[in-house]
Amino acid sequence: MSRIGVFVCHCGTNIAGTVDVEAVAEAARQMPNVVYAGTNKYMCSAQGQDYIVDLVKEHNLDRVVIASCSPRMHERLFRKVLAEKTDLNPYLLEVANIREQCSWVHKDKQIGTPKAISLVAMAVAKADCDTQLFTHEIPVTKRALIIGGGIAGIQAALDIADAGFPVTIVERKTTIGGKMPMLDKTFPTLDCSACISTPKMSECEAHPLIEIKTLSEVEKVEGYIGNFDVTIREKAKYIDYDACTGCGMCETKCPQKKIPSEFNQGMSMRTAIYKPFPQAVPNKPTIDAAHCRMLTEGKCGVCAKVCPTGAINYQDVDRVTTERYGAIVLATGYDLIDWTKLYGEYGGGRYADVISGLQFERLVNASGPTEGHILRPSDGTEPKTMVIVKCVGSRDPHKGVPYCSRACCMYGAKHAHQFMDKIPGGKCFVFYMDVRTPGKNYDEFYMNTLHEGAHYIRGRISKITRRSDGKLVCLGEDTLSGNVVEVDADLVVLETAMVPPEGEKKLAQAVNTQLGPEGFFSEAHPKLRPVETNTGGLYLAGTAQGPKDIPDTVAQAGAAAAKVIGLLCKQSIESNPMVAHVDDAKCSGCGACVDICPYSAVTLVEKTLRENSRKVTRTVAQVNEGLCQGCGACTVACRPGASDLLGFNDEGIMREVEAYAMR
Amino acid sequence: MRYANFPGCSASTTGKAYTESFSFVARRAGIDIDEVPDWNCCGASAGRLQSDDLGDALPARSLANAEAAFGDEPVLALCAGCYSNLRRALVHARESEDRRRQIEALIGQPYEAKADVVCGIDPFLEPETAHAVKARVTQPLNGLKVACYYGCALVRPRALTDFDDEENPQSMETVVKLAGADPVEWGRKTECCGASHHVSNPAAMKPLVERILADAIDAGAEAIATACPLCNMNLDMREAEINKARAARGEAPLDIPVYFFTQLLASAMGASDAEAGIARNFVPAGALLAEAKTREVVVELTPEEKKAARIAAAKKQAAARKAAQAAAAAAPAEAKEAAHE
Repeated sequence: MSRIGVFVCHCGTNIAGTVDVEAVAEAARQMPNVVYAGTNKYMCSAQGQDYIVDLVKEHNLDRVVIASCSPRMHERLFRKVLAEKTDLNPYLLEVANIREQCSWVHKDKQIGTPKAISLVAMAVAKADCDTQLFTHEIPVTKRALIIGGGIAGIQAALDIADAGFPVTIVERKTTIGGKMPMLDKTFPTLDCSACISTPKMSECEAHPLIEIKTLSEVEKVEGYIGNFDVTIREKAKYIDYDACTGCGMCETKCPQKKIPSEFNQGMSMRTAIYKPFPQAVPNKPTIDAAHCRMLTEGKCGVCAKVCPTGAINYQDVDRVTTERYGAIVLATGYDLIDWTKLYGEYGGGRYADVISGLQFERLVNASGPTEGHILRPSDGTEPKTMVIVKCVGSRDPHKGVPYCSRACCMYGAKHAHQFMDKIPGGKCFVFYMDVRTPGKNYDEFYMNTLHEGAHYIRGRISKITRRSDGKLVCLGEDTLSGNVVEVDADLVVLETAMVPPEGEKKLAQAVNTQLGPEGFFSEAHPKLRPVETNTGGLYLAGTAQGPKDIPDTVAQAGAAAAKVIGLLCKQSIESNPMVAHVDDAKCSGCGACVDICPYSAVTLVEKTLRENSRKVTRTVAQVNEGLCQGCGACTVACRPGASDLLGFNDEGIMREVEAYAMR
Repeated sequence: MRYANFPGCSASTTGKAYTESFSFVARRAGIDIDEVPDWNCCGASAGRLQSDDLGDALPARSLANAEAAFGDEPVLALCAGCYSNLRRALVHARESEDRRRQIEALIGQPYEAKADVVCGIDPFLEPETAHAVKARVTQPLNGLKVACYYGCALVRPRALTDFDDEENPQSMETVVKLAGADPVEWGRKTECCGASHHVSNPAAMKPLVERILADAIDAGAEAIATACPLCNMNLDMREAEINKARAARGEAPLDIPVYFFTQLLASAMGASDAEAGIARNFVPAGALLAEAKTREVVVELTPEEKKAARIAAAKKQAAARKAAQAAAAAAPAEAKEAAHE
């Protein structure tokens, strides 16, 4: 006979507002095996926890049922309370969710209260057949993997490595650095982006504990927290990095000179053997196999002839390795939306002088295609009138994405400032829907830009047409004055939406985590757990989790690093004891559970068992408790009912159903 | 190809030139026309603004008549306004089974929305028809620079028309090329011409028209092509008044004739000015066509054709050189033989 205690939480008015908690407690007192039932304003508070502890002792309870918010909120906390402050096994606890699944759904106490009572009755019935469960220890491999070598990945790597743990950065491009080296100056301080990011890139390269793999991608991740087996494909670079000195001779001689430079956003050309920019890390070139004449046609070979150290190797192949890591950080960054396919009204890409914000950054950057002079891409003349259109793609559920991309109001103001600064007498018109500048020193920056003379017009540009004299006629509206406005611009900059980069879906599947509806990685909880995912050991940092600016990205990278360090500095971690368990006596070895397990946690093994006082060797299923996530699919697939879930066994679930039906 | 034609109110009035030139081309290009029996007004602007039911029922009645007589033969509406209204009824009936039944109840006859509704440009996008037209072009317009104006009803709203790109359509350009014209790229293909403000508030509409005409000229066009009687009327009819106002302001006049695209096709296929309805144009339009036909043809090669021509020329040169060398080698040999003898 169990001695069950039922603790009903008011949760302020969150539950008490729509559920008569005293009535629930009273009803609980009548339920079988319940020896105590009571309420508390906030069960999760220190006072609430003490209340539970005291009553467990006072009434010698051996099972605890808490009727409160979702177990996803505080079940862990309550288990800890039982484990640390009582003699009870922490798994002799049931949480009845009478908030998210009851009080927050209903408005009428007449409906909410009986439902809460039913939920509590179900929990009480299940608690009676709960058994003690014990965790075991999983070893932790003290190595971290960071997927993505932008500023988020770099910062996280430096923090983790500085704490003494080896880190591997896997970067898809030929250099780490991400988008930051492409930018000119960063808000609100207007410091040179490359000047602040390239030292960090060098630090990564020089750090004894950081390994950088560029032109590499993660193909497969198996395993679990503390023990991820990651398969990484390092694509062929065609250059021996040990021999290469980065002298750049090859680039000067390469005959394929007409490849649009990705780093310069298509506004200049590069060669087939190339370094994307002079401060690339590693500072060595790679060969773009798709455009190299030697690799596609077998002709040329000039770079190999001129290379002073013989570092070119046309026979290079991809290298695939599998290594074990304890923690993984996803820092895969963002891309800008391809506006040319969506906004035909802005020319659909046909007008050379209508460019994206990132293209403008390249124009204004001293290492860019125009050496920092703001010049019209069409004819190379200096523009005198510039129009900036904000929210191109963002906040547009009809044609673009529904969310705000967060950084563009600030960099729009920055672009306006840079234009007026570099072009004396230059006029800049910024067409906006709102101006969002919430960060530290952000609004002051925007005000400054206004005082410098930027014309901010609240309204959208509906159409841009190109006149024969080369002017871009921008038709818009000033909604504050109610006038239609037309601006003859020399240059138009579109501040476009941040979207997840290509390949995010494939990566999410490989690492076994979720993407949100917009394609960014899902955090475990948007407010309380922003850098963790629902997969243990997998963390997020930067724009991979959602659009944000550099200060927030670096902050998140530090947070993710702290979580990783917290994990890696443990000798071992506790496993989840609510895993599947196979009763060998009932198991027929059919393997249905093996097929259905999404985590490949079940295998068929030969076991020698004692049956009818004889030794019999047969095939039975065996669960790898480390891999098992307790989803229960195998328990459903199992026909003889040999597979059951500890903590959620069939008996307990049937009793819940009975308790509900009886009411 | 066979179509059930919905003439609409403008077919024999403001759109007469469109109807005349279209008939001329259709007869020679294998386009067969049946008139929709007992068709009624499509509702124009007023019908759908009055009520959703009226906006669907008026066009649906005509479509139902067409269906009863001609089954799933596509319904052709030359006027873009009629096209838009007929498409509205069609799409509403196709999207929702409930709505289709409601429409049937409103018009008191069965309507299954089987037949498609197409605009005047559509028949010429069929490869057979385009081929037939091209074959019958005897007096090509030799590179006449034409700006194609679509107005709004042909390409918007996308959900109803599903016809061409709303921002930079290209279908009419493909068709005028058949007549030998050279379409120009310009930015006001789908800009508002003022629509019915032409009648109720000309002062509001004239600046819009002026801008369209000026922009077409600025982009290098000599003529404008339209596919709708109202577009045509708005751009064509007030040009003289606009030029008068420009003269008063000291600005040069805009001289650009406005044709139905079918007039260009008809003229290129040998139609007289009368047969192509040219006399009905407000801005004198016959002289330009006649002049264009006398121009020298300049054939613009594609980059691939240019490259092929270069390679062919290079090969020819190399062959000539080789032949010359062979001849030079043969000559001394002959001389030697001669010397031997």
